[in-house]
Amino acid sequence: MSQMAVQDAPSAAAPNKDAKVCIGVKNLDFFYGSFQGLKNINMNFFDRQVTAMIGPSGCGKSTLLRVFNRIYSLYPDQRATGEVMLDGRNIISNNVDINELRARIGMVFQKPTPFPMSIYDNCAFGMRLYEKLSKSELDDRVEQALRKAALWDEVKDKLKQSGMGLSGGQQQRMCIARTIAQQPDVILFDEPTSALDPISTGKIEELIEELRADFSIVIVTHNMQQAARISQYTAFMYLGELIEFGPTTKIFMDPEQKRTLDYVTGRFG
Amino acid sequence: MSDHISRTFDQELDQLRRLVAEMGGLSERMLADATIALVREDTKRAQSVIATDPKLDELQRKIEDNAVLMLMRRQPVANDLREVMASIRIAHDLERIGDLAKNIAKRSLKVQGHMQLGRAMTGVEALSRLAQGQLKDVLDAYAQSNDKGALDVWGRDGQIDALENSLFRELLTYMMEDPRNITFCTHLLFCAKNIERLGDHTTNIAETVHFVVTGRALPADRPRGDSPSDAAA
Amino acid sequence: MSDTTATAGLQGQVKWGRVRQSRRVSDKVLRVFATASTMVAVFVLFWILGMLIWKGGQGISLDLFTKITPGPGTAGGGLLNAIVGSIVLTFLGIAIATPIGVMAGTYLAEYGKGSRLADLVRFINDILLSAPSILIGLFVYVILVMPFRGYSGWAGSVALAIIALPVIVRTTEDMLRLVPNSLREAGAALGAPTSVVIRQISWRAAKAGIVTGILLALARIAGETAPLLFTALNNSFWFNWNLTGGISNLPVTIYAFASAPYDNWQQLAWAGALLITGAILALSIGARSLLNRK
Repeated sequence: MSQMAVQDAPSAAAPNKDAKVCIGVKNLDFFYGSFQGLKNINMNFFDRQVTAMIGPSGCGKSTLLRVFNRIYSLYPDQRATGEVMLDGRNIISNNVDINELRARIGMVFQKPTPFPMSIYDNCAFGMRLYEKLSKSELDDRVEQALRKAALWDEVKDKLKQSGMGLSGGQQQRMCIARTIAQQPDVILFDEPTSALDPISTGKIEELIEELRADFSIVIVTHNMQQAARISQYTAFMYLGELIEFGPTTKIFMDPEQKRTLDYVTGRFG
Repeated sequence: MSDHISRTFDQELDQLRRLVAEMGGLSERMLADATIALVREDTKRAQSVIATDPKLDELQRKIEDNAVLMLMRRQPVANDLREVMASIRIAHDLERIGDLAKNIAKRSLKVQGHMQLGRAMTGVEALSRLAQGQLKDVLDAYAQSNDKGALDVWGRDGQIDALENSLFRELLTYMMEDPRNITFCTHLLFCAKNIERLGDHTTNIAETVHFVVTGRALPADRPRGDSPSDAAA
Repeated sequence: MSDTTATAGLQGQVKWGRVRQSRRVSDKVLRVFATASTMVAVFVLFWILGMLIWKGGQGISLDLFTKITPGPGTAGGGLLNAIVGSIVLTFLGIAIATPIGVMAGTYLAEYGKGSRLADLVRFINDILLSAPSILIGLFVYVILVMPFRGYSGWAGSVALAIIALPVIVRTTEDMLRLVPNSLREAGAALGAPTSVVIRQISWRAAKAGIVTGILLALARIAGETAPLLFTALNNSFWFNWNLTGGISNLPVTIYAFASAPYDNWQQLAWAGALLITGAILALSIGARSLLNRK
């Protein structure tokens, strides 16, 4: 068992050792007003790998996710200090255009968030903001995105209908399509299946495994088994600190830290 | 069986089955080659059997690693869980079968040049052929998830026991006739014992296949012939 | 312990029949009292409506919609100029109040979260919401009628707009607050600036609610009399699209005609009241059905 997962392990489990660093986090602190939500986080996220963030509620995993696309900037009392490097830039510094950043780092939320418009317009929303595309180019990109999100066959005949009319799982896949249509580098998933039934959950998980070919993925999940199923790397966080980060197989088979062990084995508290 | 939502899970299960099948084929050939090496005093073949064993061990480790990974990542249930459990058990049995075949190959090297008793050799060969047939059948049953085939193999193990028993008496007779036969016959005796043990592992595999297909375990005691040690007493 | 049936497991302290008689009686008394009160309220409402329909219905004729208000002592006549004037004043008022109200409500809900200014605006808006309408009439009289030396349609619609404004601000803010924050975050996460998020997502999501608020504001000002007394006053002549002078309108006409000694004027006042009530009722029902359809 010593050379676990090094060779010929099931393909989805094995982290790609040669993957480049996609997001580099250094000395990151985060504050909600005077409350410190993240304490000195240092870790790397790898290109075209799925990194899962696990930990009990309030451990800061969602907070960390929300730093990457600076969605926290919507709220004046939240701030981050430190370094989060993406493609040579510190994205939490002021000289980064937030909207450009968000077009490069997409996000899918806990509850499906269909906009009150047609399925087509939902998918075209992001592209219309920053790209000048002809009608036919736009059509192509919408179709590609919906195909990649495994939703095309279900909605191709009702693209003009409201996105709110879809089922929860379909809505979530539409939100994923909307995000990938923008061709981002990174997709952040904030507990994307916690509001869905098991079948829809399975479909989303399968989708995430497929999306890994094209995108770097960070997923926050309450469901440890989900992290074990779909990720190559796992980070365990507790009380705003990063306790352990490593290949998913390592975290779930033989974690270094006692707290990680207790959490993944269900001996917490 | 219908596909899982997760295609990678299907692929992983397929790969696990393929690895077990590969191990099965390898151990089958090792037994066949070891028997030929013994009967025909084929040194090269014996050495190739011995050289194959690490490969079998490596396959077993790979199956175990994959199975444990799948338990960790997929949390399989029902038939998937049985499938994964079975792969671990069958891999273990096949690894033991490989070890026993290797032992026969090693002994074949020691008895070379002392071929006094062709008749005794014929008995061992027949015993091995019986065991080879059983092994092939049980591997087929595994590959086809065929419960009936597995049960057949399970029921037939008594034949091997019976044949081994008679071979035991025969070899004992040769040794009493002429003490110079003792070394040779002892080696053959061990070979026969190996084949009988190997048959037991085959039966274990049959039980596992039954468990995979039906979800139920077979009764603890299966039909068996007299044990040679009883006869010796 | 006595029971040997399957439910014997329920033995213990709990027994049937523990509810005291007095509790049942008090329960019944309250129910009777509440029902009776409701009946009284509904009865009064139907009394008013019945009288309105009875007295006003008699005055409903084609003349009502085709002839202008009669002079003192003249027979016949209708309410045409008052109806048109009311419609013009009301819609003009809404036209003034809607953009300001929607924008202000948007500021409160989207930009002014937690800011002092927003709290202040919200507080003042709530005061305005409950301010007596005659006060607003007086205010407009002072700033628009006195300086220009004359009653005018403009002044009337401004007064109505000021009454409609707080209603629109309030409903717009409330409806925008009902839009889940996650929707705004999702828009922002796709790289949309706040202005785009508001225009394409928040407003769209709250559209039905905001329109309902505007309709309710419309219903509210359609029947306002007091502010018009000080501003648009009245005009017994044919409506001439001149908003710089006094304009005839239903509420003030009803006010004037109802207390006049002429029978046909009183009849017209009742008919006008019925018209206004019908219009307000239709607007309210329309607004409600619009909101429920969402």
